[in-house]
This record gives sequence, structure tokens and C-alpha cells, in this order.
Amino acid sequence: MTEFTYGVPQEQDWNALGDDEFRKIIRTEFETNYPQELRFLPHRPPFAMVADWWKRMSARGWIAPFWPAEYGGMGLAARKALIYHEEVERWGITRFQDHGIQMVGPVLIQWGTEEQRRRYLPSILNCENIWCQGYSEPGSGSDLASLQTKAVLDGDDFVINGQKIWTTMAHDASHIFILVRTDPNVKKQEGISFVLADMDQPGITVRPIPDMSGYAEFCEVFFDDARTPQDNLVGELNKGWTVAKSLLGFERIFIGSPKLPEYALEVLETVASARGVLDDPVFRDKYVRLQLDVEHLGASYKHFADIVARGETLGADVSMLKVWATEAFQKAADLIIETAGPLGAMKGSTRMGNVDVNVLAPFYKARPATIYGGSNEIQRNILSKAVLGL
Amino acid sequence: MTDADTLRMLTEAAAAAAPFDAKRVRGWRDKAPGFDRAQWTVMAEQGWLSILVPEDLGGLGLELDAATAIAQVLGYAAAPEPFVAAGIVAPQLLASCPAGETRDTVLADVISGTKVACIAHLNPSGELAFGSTAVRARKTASGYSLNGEYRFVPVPDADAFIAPVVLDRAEQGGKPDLCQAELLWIDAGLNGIEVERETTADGSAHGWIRLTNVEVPAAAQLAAGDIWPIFDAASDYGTIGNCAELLGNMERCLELTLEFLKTRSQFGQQIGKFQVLQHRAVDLWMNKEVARHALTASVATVMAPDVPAAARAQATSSAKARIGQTALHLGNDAIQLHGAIGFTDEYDLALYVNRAIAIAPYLGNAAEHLKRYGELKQRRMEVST
Ligand SMILES: Cc1cc2nc3c(=O)[nH]c(=O)nc-3n(C[C@H](O)[C@H](O)[C@H](O)COP(=O)(O)OP(=O)(O)OC[C@H]3O[C@@H](n4cnc5c(N)ncnc54)[C@H](O)[C@@H]3O)c2cc1C
Repeated sequence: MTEFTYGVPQEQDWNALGDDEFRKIIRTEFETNYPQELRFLPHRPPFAMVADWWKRMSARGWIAPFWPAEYGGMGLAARKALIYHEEVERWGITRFQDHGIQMVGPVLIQWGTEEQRRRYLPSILNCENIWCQGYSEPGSGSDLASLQTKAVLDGDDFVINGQKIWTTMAHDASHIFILVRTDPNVKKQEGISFVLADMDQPGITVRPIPDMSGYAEFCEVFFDDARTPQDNLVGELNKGWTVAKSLLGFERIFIGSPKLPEYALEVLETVASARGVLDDPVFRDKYVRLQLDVEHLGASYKHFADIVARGETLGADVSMLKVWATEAFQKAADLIIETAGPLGAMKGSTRMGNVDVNVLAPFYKARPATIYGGSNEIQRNILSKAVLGL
Repeated sequence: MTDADTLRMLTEAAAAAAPFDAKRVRGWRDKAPGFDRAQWTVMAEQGWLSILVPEDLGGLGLELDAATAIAQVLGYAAAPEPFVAAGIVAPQLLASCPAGETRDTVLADVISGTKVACIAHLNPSGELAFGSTAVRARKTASGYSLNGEYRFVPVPDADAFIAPVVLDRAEQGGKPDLCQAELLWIDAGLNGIEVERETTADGSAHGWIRLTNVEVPAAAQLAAGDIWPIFDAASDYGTIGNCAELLGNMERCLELTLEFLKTRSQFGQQIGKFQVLQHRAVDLWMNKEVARHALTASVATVMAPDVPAAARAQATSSAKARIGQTALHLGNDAIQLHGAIGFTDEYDLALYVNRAIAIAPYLGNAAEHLKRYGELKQRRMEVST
């Protein structure tokens, strides 16, 4: 290693702490310093809204909990990383542009050159650069490998033409990582490369797409002779599929965490209490059934979390977590609407007894969860093939 | 029963006069009054606002199945106009009130589209409380003085609200006597009325109406005494109309989904060729068909001559318990089968799903009607044994 330093030095070796002690430190920081009004936001906020909090995390060296300490992360081993993640979700802390921290960082650490790491990691750590993920295209959703956006070498640059879509928070991002076709003449997975690009250039146009809750979180990104230097290629040319697939390790467990359905159950309880039906046996039956679903999601999650904590690799069976978690989340969101009666029609925050509740927020959050991150149909395909051998 | 030819003509005329117009639907979102008064006039000219009103009161004098035919077309068009609330419930209720100068005048205004009116009857916590209201009325020398709140009023910018009030009785120490309710025509322009618009999922709004010492003239009385039988009948008609609107909504959601399954390709084939999606689509279709047949059966019961109130109520709740639930499930699955595009506001499906969410709770959601259905069924079984 060279003398180049990333981020700020860590206060201590977190992995040396006991689990409970570590959890307490994390929890105290979150509960003391995370702004109350930013807890459990119904939408991903623009960076400006959460900048102070993330800069605080950055200054403390906590912004990249899973990166190795030598790259400016907390260097958390699997078990501590899970605890950190649980605490983030428990306190309803808004996700920091997980594309930079959770995707670009790990990819560059595993596949990048020293030069790429020095160029990009510091500005992720200090919140200067915000990244977005350009994988999906209008014609390539579940069948991602069929993607058409092309990159052709011209001197030292790739020239990129094509279109990405559903790019979350692209309108708030300074950089994008994309999968591009660099060889159209081979099997579809074998002609794809993983490339980084600066979004501040005339060849890239972003158009936000409002979603059905009226909020623009995802975007279309158009590439018209956009350029990026050849040394923004990550991994080898035409090996982008392998690079992208390597990201599907650890992260797969997060999407199956019980926290979102637990959050929906909390809203449900508030709604039921305001509507005076908490003790109604018909309601209780439905509510308790869901609680059981979520409790047993927790038990299943623990099984996979233990595998991760032991440092072993997750099998294809981890897909069951995503299916179970997102569908429990949706059932809870639907029961909130049902329980709310006439209040189930209301958009935004609405008065219920003496509390204000955003009745439809869990619904709008839960609905797309069975679509992104590999739709639940695709997850079931994986499970039936890879696990059941059908 | 309306004959098949008349129904077909009505449906065709409605489809021509109220086609789906995405730009128009989007244009009225988050904007008062939430629908187009010019289109309301068109609907009046077509006779839809008086479809259930007897001919001797200036209406078309058709039956409930004719009104549901119109509601279904409007549901299919995701029309923002409050046909069920202001074109079925209000005229139906007014037509059932005893004749009188006020009743005759306002009924004429309502069916000509010059005045838009809807009922206001829920308290702020939204109980389906037909027997009580949160508004207190006191008799004065010139009429009434009203205080209290109505919430979930489906047309916040209505010209008038038709509201049940229960009089405070001096001889009972100021306590209301539920058997002595009155139905009032409350002009929205009266002093002391404040309307808060609460936006609903589809971008239209419900009204939260606060009344502070509102002086209502004595002439505003539409009915007195046991007003609940006509009130319940009109809300049952409204619930059936709401079911028809939801059915039209479901039909379009399903159509959009089937078109999408036939045109979208992934992995080198139409996604509609994936068996799991075929089965999902079949389930949606089947549920929609059952909903349709349930509605037909309930409409027949409700409009049968001399149907007992309990049978009418049970048939109404049977339809709403089914359709209220099916509509929301179908919308959810339609989004899923579309993938990300189904979740965007730019694709029309979202207009339908948000509309269904907004109107499904009107006059009681599926769960509330399931409960009512169960109670009525039980009671009628006890009576017959
Ligand atoms: C809120 C949200 C945020 C997103 N953020 C990003 C982002 O930041 N970057 C990015 O690149 N992408 C993002 N996406 C896109 C996401 O990855 C895609 O939506 C997803 O891959 C599905 O693709 P699609 O939407 O094109 O649906 P399609 O693939 O067209 O699927 C349509 C339907 O067909 C089903 N289907 C498809 N293939 C099969 C099959 N073989 N068997 C059975 N059923 C099948 C699907 O399950 C779905 O129900 C986001 C999506 C959403 C909803």
C-alpha cells in the first residue's frame, strides 16, 4: 500500500467490541444526532435535505460501514455490519445514496485500479459525488443482459449512445455507473462492460419520471455521444456482467430484512388505535397473522444473517427472504388502507384522532418492492430452478 | 328491469359523451373543484343526473341498472366527475323527500346540473354512523343554528350539502333524540361554513366541513321525523353505483394489463407466454367476472319492487364487500404485471389505481360492508327460523 489515506481514521477497532456494546454506540449516535423530522421519510430525499447528517457521518468516519478501514470505511466484519444495518433501519434513517457507498465503493475495491480508487473513493466518502445506477433500459428490465446501450472506443474515450430508465435519483446524482454493450457479436452476457461516467456533460440528459405517489424518484437517462475516458472501465472489457454479479452477494440479505414490514406494522397499529379497532377480534386476527409472518421473517432472516456472520457465502435460497419480506410489507400496507376506512383515500399526512398519519405512504413504498431488485416472479424462478431443481 | 336495448344505447351514449381523456383527468388533479362543471352540464343534458328520478318530477324515471350502466362507463374512463355522489345519491335522496317548495326547487336545480350537491354525514373519525352525527342543531325563531363538523364529504366544492341533523332537545337536557332527525339543505355559501379540502389519492379531494353558528332558514328542511329509511335507501343506491364505477375501473385495469402482457417482451418472448403470468391474469379476470356477476345479482335484488330494507341492505353490502376488495387487489396485481412502468404516474394505469383507492371507501369500504353483510345475514336468518 502507498501512503495515500482514504477518509478519516477510525476511532477504534469496532470488530473487537462485543455485539451489544457496539450496538449501543451506534444506537446512541443515531438516537442522539439523527434529525427527528427525517425519520422514516416516505420518499428518498434529495441530498440537500440530508446533507448535514451525512456530512456528520462522514466526519466521524461512519459513512461507509462495510468498506475496509484502509479505504476509509468502518471495516465492519459481517456480524457488525448487520448490526449497523439493523440500527439504521430501526431508527428509520434515510438511505445515503447507497449506490456510491454500497455499490461503486465495493466494486472499485474489488475490481478497480489503484488510480480509480484514489479518484473516486474520497469523493464518495466526503459526499462530494453522488452516484446512480444505470442498468435497466426500456427494453431490458428482468432480462437485463439484453441491454442495448452501446459504448464504442474513440481514441482514449468511450462514446456512449442509448438510454437507461428507472435510474433512481439520477436527477440528484453527479456520476453514474452503467452497464454498456461493448461487443454486439457474442453471447449477450459476454459483450457487456461496467463503466463509470460523469453526468455533467452535454451528452447526458436526465428526465425525472413521477411515480404514482406523485413523487419523482426515478428517471430516464439519455446518452447521445456521451463520453467517458477509457480508464473509467471497471474490470476487464466485456467482463461487466461478472463485475455486476459480484455485487449480488451480501446485499441480497438487506432487501429481505424485516424492518420495512415492521415499520408498516407500526403504522398499522397507530391507525388501528386511532380508529378504535385494536381490540376488535376481526382486526386482531388479521393483525396477529401479519405479526406472525413478520416474526418468522425475522427468524428466517437470522438464519441467513448467521451464515453471513460466519463468513460463509449465501446460497440461491436467500431469494426467499426478498419474496417473503416484500409480500409481508404489502399485506401490511393493504391492511392499513382497509383499517383506515374513509381515511384510506387520503393522500399525504392526514389527521386521525389526535395523531397525523400518512396512511398511503407504506402502500406506495411497498408496491414497487416486489418489482425492483429482481422482481418476485424472477426470484421465484431462481428458487424453483436453483433450489428446488425444477 | 331496464330492457337490454335501452341499456346498450345508454352505455354507448355514455361512452361517446364521456370517453377516457388522460389529459383532462390529469388536468383536474390537485385543482378545485376537481372536476369539470362543463362536463357536468353535458351529463345533465344527457339526463344522467335524473336517471333515477321519476318522470313526474322531471326525471328519466329509469331504474338502478340504468344508473349503474352510466357509473360503469365513467369508471372505465376514470372520469373525475362525482357522478355517484352528486348524480345518484343526491337526486335519489331528494326525490324520496316529501314534495315541497324547497325540495322541488333544489331537485330541479340538481338534475339540471345548475347546482351540485352531495350528502354530508360522517363525523371526523369517519364512522359509518348513520344513526348519529357530529353536528348539533338548535331550533331558532327563523330556522336552525348548526355547530359541528362533517368530514369525508365527497364533493368539497359542492353548492350545497344534504345533511342529516339531530335536534338538541330542551326537554331532554339538550341531548339529541336520534328518532327526531331532520334532513337539511345546507347552502355552502352560508356564513359560518368553512371547508377544508383534503386531497385524496387520485388528486381530487374530500371536504372537511366545519360549521360555526350557521343560521339555516326553516325552509331548508327537506324531511323530518324518521329520515333514516330514505337516507339508507339512497346510500345503498350510492354504494351500488360506487360498485359499478369500481367495476368499470377494474375492466380498464385488466385491459391495460392484458395489452401489456401481449406486447411486452423479455427473454426473447412475450411476457404473456410465461405460464405464471398467464395464471395471474386468469385469476384477475376471474375475480373481475365474479365481481360483475355479484353486482348484477345485487342490482336485481335492490331494484325489485317492494324489496324489504334489510334484503336491499344485505344485497348492497354483498356487492360492495366483494367489489371493494377485488378492485384494490386487481389494481395491485396490474401494477406488478407491468413492472416498473406500472408504478409511474405517466402511464395511465396509475390514474385508475389511484382512483380506485380514492373512491373505494365511499359509503363504507369492503371490510365495513363485509361486517354489515354478516350482521344482516345473521339477523335475517334468526328472523326466518
Ligand atoms: C422504484 C424502482 C426503482 C428502481 N431503481 C433502479 C435503478 O436505480 N437502476 C436501475 O438500473 N433499475 C432500477 N429499477 C428497475 C428495476 O430493476 C426493474 O423494474 C426490474 O428489473 C423489472 O424490470 P421491468 O420493470 O422492465 O419489468 P419487466 O421485466 O418488463 O417485467 C414485467 C412483468 O413480467 C414479469 N416477468 C418478466 N420476466 C419473467 C419471467 N421470466 N418469468 C415470469 N415473470 C416474468 C415481471 O416479474 C413483471 O411482473 C427500479 C425499479 C423500481 C420500480
